[in-house]
Amino acid sequence: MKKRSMWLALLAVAFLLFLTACGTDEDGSSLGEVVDPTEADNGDEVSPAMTGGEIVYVVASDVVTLDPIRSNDSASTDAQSQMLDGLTRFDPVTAELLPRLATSFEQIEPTVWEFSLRQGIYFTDGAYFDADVVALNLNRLLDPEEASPALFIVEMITEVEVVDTYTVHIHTEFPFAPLPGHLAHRSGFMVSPNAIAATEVGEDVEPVGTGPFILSDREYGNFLLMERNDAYWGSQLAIPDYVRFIVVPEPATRFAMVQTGEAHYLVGQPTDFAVASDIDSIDVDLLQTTTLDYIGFNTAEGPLANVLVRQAITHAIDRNAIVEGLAEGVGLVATGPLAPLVDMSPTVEGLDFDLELARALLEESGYTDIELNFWYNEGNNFRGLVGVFVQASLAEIGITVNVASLEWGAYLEATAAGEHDMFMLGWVTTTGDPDYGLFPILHSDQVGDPGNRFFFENDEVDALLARGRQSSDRAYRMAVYQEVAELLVYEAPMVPLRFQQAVLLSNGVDGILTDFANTPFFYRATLRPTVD
Amino acid sequence: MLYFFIKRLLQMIPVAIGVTIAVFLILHLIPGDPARIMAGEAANPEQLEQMRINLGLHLPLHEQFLNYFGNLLQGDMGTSIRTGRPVVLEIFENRFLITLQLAIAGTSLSILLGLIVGILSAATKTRYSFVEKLLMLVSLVGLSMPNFWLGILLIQLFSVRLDWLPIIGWGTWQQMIMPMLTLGVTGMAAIARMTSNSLTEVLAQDYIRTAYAKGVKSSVIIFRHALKNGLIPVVTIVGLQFGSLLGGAIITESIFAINGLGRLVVDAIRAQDFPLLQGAVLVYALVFVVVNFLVDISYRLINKRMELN
Repeated sequence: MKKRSMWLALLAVAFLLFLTACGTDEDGSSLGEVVDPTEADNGDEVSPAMTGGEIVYVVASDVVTLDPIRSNDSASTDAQSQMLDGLTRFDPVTAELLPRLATSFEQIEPTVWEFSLRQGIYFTDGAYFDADVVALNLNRLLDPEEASPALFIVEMITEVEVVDTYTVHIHTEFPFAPLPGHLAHRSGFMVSPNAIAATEVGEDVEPVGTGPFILSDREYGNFLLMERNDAYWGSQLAIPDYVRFIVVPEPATRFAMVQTGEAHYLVGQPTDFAVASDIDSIDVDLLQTTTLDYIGFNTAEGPLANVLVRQAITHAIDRNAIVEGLAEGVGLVATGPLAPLVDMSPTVEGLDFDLELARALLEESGYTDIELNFWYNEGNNFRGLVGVFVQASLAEIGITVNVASLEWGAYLEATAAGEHDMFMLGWVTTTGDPDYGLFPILHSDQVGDPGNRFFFENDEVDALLARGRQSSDRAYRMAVYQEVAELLVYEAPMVPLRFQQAVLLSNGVDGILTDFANTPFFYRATLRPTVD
Repeated sequence: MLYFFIKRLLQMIPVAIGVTIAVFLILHLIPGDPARIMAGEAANPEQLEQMRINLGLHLPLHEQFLNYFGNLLQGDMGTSIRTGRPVVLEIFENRFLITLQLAIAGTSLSILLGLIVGILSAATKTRYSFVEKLLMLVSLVGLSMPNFWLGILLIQLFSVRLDWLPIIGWGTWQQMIMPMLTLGVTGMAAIARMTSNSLTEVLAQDYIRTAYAKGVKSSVIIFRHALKNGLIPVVTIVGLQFGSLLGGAIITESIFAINGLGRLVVDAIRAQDFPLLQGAVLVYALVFVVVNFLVDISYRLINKRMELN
């Protein structure tokens, strides 16, 4: 009897301990709550029933950093974009490059850009925005000791000159036409000078900005909460009271959360598209992005140094089958390296799927018994499937392919060192300019570590890319990039596979704007009234 | 007893040191460079080197280890590369307690259900063998089902179809039900099978037959006479289960987005956050050691004739 009591008591104590320790830590967030109407200062009144509330955005991984010069992942960019502004921005609806904290920008000399700044802007900590702040932020980004992963985006800047309180001259090493687009990148977001002063070199700065939301609360690995900035300088205040990023690593859980309305917004996976389309509660949208998925060749040595072999392989891979079969029809078949959404994007035919031609080209090259490795990063199922598909496709023309996955860090290291034959990666043209889409990954200055994992060195392409980035004549640049694209089709350092489409899933919310880099903006989002 | 406590506590020290060295070496010898991950695909060699210096990864391996170990002795587990916060805070601020709650909840549920199913199964074995077979089939299914699959099924049933329970989080009783079930069912199955087997063995012994012959009620025989002997092997299983539940918590926490130690480990592995991973694995190892110690003590409490050594 004694023993039995003891066991029951032990069990009871265990339960009690556990329940006591749990407590309740839910905060009183106002999901779906109707709050005071927000009257925009341009006179537009927002319907009371649609304002306020908390938008829940469910993401796969946590925001790594809120420091714009240090982030290298989409969750961080998404969060920063709600709180911070840059000098310029791409309109989420029209994709047009517009001034943001600047009022205008102009290339006044071949190597000097003049930015006129907006007046009367305050950071959320009360600091005033002016030319000195622009110089402080850009110089911090350019400081090698800060080791910003985004340095390559602005490394052509040689000096940030403060002309007067509201005018900045940005000097570049060479004429650089796409600079305003590059400054729209999140690394160019402006942070309060007080926050920067309170930060040591190499440390993350607090995200004190001028955007429509302010950081309210954060639990690492779990959630990030932002609240409306009621002193926002824009013509309209944000509509939601709060935006909450919730981190949920399991894809099936994320999907179920949107299905039940526990979350309002999710960037789904290609496989979610067909499933979600049959569920009434979920609104599904396909968003065209500027992201290219490609198979790359190491053109430095071996059979892949031969252009005929590269062309043969390209002809042997059925890209339609990859997009329709492996990507569930989500995405556009790519013929060239630049997505249609990229400004001045050229139109090229690409190399068609043609096995006979592939065999003929291979024979002409003189290579036989070719054996190649195909590497992709571990955990990326789509790339793994493409690897197997390529293995089967190239077997048709007598090429043996060994498919292997590597851990992400090791993968980047090995492909930067040129240890690979074929690899698969994606590239997002975040600035919307063809220079960003091509130069970092295809110019010979970028070989290896900096991003040209094709080890592709072509004088003609180099010269064209240099001309393209240095000219501000739009028609001329279009012609240059058309020529580059055609040359790249012939040289075939890569097999462009598809331009990604993002699968956007939402439930009970309208007005979320998403730009071509797949960054959502929540300031116009309205919750639909819930019907009980 | 005191001598035993002290001896066992001292035994934990070499284990902890061994684990620390092993974890440190394994993490530093696997391919992959955290500086590379943080610097991004487009980083040039200078940026990469600067990032290594910022992270302290430029020092020789033994220096890195000695620095780490020296700090560890002072209670400093280092700073998370990813968040820049002290590892001690990352682990013990909230997460450790949450995982402990989850593991205790899962273990309690598995003990409770496991004992009920195990005892019922043993008690019905002779007269109602179909009940016993059914119960054992249930426990076999529970044992065979991976808990990530069970978790997703529970979400589909209780949240999507029935709209009864919230999908994610930890704190309210509604949020705890599905994670507890996900974690507890596998353990329940193992405990049920062990209880049933052990109890069946005990029930076949002479002293039990004598008790039946004397006309003692079945319930008294099972709960008063048989169970205390039948439970001894079950305690071992419970101890082992608690350890595996801590491991299972990694998956359960990922499915239900519970911000515990398990998820911290997954995040740290993904980000190659060495200091955080080292700290978390060390804490896991120490919990295992403590649980083993408690299992030994509970043997003694259940049956005083057992030698502690």
